Amino acid sequence: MTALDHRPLTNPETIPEHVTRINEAKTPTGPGRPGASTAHITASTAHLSVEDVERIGAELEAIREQVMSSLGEADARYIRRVIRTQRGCEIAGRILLLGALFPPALVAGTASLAVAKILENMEIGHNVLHGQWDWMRDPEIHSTTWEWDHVSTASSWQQTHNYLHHTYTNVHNKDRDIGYNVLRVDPDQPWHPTYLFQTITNLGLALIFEYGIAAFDLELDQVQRGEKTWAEKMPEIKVMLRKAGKQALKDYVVFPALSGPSFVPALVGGLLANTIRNVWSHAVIFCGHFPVEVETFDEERLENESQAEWYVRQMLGSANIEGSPLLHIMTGNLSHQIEHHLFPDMPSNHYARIAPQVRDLCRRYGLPYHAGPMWKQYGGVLWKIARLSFPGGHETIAKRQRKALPVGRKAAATLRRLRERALPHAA
Amino acid sequence: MIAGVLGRATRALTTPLLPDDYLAFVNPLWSLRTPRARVVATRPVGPATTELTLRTGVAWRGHRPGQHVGLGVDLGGRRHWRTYSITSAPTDEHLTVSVTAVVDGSVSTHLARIARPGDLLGLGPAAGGFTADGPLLMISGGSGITPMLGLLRGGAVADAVLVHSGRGGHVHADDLADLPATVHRHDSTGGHLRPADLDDLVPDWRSRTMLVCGPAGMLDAFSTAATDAGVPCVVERFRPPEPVATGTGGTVTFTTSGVVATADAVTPLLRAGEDAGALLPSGCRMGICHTCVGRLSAGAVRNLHTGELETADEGDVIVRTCVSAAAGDCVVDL
Repeated sequence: MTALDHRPLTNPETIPEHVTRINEAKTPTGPGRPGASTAHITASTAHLSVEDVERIGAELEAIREQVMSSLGEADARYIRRVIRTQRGCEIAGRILLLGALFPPALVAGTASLAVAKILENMEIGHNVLHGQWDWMRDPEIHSTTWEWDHVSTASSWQQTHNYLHHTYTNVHNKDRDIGYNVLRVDPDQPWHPTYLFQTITNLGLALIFEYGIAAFDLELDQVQRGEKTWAEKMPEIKVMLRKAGKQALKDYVVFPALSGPSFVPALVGGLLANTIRNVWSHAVIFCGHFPVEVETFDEERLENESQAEWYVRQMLGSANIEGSPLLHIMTGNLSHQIEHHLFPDMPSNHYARIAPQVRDLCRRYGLPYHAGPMWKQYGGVLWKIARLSFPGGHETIAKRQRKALPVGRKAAATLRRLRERALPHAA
Repeated sequence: MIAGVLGRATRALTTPLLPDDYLAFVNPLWSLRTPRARVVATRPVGPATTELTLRTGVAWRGHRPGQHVGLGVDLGGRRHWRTYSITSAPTDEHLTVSVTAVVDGSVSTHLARIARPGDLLGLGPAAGGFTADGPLLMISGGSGITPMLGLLRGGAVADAVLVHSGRGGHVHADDLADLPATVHRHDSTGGHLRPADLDDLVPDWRSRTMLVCGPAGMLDAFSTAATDAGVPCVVERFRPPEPVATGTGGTVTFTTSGVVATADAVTPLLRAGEDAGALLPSGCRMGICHTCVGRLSAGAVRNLHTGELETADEGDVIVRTCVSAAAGDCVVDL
């Protein structure tokens, strides 16, 4: 299947130049011939020339450079303050839960612990493991030394998330995050009767998200496909089980035991805090890539993909959540998923500042910039999961995606080119 | 054994963090893992030199007289490490070092002029073996006095003569009189101290072991004189000799860190790796302490002191990343 099926591009002369370059490896005789891959052209990028894409890349590089060269003491203070706040919340939550027989202590302790766990996983753990704070050279806040309050081990997470998901974002058969092997979140995933119940599967996944991710990070599907044997997987499984055991022991045995007569309510508090964290991170992460308008891509697109084309794919394949600064911190700034996917190793406190620049860039180049309030984004995700539990869905989803495209983008592109030709230095 | 059980029990409470992370949360000096120091006093001891008195954290393992220590300073959010001679005795309550503000030296300038009581510093392990037995002749120039102070105050020396040369206002001028040694002062405004001056100042110098610390010219002159006279001589360098540079550098891959850095032919691998975000072991940063060593598994590096080329196919090649630069692309297991 090629993207050409979906759009009225009939004249081979209008195929942008980079098609030629991408296809050189496959078909060295020129563009527009049978067998040429056009997988990288989607409805949302058809109006861009190869120069446009390169210019987008250059502008994004400039934004990145501007931020990375500005990093300094204020940033170091920021992450240390977040870590201090998180540890303070954790200690407060644990102490309050010691007296969990007293209902207000149970509520406040659970809330405090849930906030601590969310901060730890999202604004601290996820971002530190991306190496966002490695530039400080502080061995205690470094991607190579950090371990987080999550069942998935730091190293296992770095492989499936930092490498596979961030490099091959939303590419079928490459980015395993598409549906996490249990959900059909894209019409291009073949339907299977088990998907009929995926609304319930999804609810269950949200409740135990931490364990779901850990199991997913083990890449057990490699065993199913015969790429690896159970014996080869065993060491990894053992490490993860040991970590899960320690976490469970701490939350469900040791701390409740310390609470003495409050054992049961303290256990409930720990369980609730973990569940709140699970449901919240599930919602945030699903809002990042699964809203209806977000695009997925075919493997062919990766062939000879340039850095600029990679940037464009990241923007088309991610979605932001709009909200208050508090929401941004509680999502670990993954509410700026687009900016995070463009610059995964940029300290997260800068995403909010560059978001308007990225949005403006998308507007100027007629690219969609998927953003919306949480209820809208998450509602869209849940609707899509419900729709795709039944076969098909191509047309419905494609219609929603078309509607999300900026209006008059071809006209805008032409106008911009005319303007740039008149003022060659303005760009 | 009780401590072990207790350790395991508290670790069960803090997993995946360590109890230490919470100790350090309350007071950074309580960390059992990471030595840190807090500045408790500063005192000017020379025209551009400040003595810092440091309270050491629990993780500090002490030092021997004559050793030096790395101090970590956060500037612009980034941690920088520099090495200074310890001037206090191992038995003293506090650790002291003296820092001379070097022109263009951001870390030394910060420590000498900006650091205030209450500031927190990173602290490396003590390292170095600048010492000798028997009767000693100590020759120091400028801030080269600091390891001599450490040796003399540390009580490791029974019979010593100190010849200290400085320009006008001596570094640690007020402290020289209290030292358990015969002290000769030399004013270098009228000319450098020369080995020939020794015959007048210390007639029996040929029967002493020579310890020298000071500017590069002084080190060279006196170590040559010592060799000529057949006198044992130990030198302490504050700065590595001028790098020997040839070639074009290359990319350096740090396998354990998973970092790839580009480095020219004069940048130590350590610097290149750190600038690329790798967390590498380091100590003195001038080729002395061997804290920074790593196995060279591919490619070649050039020793910045000697200009010697070390290549991975020579077998198990261990390189000091602080004094080695890339000679083409190379791979280091760090």
